[in-house]
Amino acid sequence: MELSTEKQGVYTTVSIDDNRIDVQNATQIRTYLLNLIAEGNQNIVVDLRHVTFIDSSGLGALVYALREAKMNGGDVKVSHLKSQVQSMFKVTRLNKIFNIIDLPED
Amino acid sequence: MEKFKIDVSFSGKLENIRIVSIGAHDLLQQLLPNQERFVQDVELCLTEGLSNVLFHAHQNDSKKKIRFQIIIEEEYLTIRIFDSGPGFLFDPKTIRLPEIGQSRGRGLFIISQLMDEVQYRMNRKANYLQIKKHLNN
Repeated sequence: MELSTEKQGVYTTVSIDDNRIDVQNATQIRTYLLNLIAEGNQNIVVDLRHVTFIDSSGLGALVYALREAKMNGGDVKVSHLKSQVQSMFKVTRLNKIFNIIDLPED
Repeated sequence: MEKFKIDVSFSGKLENIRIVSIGAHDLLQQLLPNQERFVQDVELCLTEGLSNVLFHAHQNDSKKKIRFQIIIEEEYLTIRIFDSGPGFLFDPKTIRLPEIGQSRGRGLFIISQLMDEVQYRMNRKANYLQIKKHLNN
């Protein structure tokens, strides 16, 4: 899995080059996001356009990063949610705490 | 009456959970064509159940095998996921979402939302989580 970062103004966009965020890579993603926040990039957009499958470990990694960012005065937003990912945000009501910044792709 | 049944046992390593979940997805796609959403929900619940076995029942012990079954009958798809841990008292009526900012504890809630029946049975040989979903005929 490749994670890439692009700085756009105050926001750092993280792209995940994997179609799954699950028990296998959730810890790696969480660590990556936490390191970014620790380096002062507390406003993050996680671009999920390639992700077609997310489980509770993946959601947990994003929640962990959101909590850490908010404690540092920032935010974690998510973008380009595919239908399964969007559905999981709704089922777990995480759509109430995450800023979803654009329309789903499908 | 069973129309299809598989019984799978694999080394309980983290990386194997993804492999068997994708394998189950591909298999169910063949068996239940044009039901992608159903298959995706089942795959997710299988992943959640297998992860719970590895992290909770087996305490990350990758030497322990994880076993599961997928059974398709006339009206239902059933998954049984076995564990050799101490088991836990389980009442599906008490499954709740964790506090919204918590980073853990959503797996069983997701299963309860996507499946029609959730049970956990303990016995001397092995415990198992049994989840059922009504087929969209």
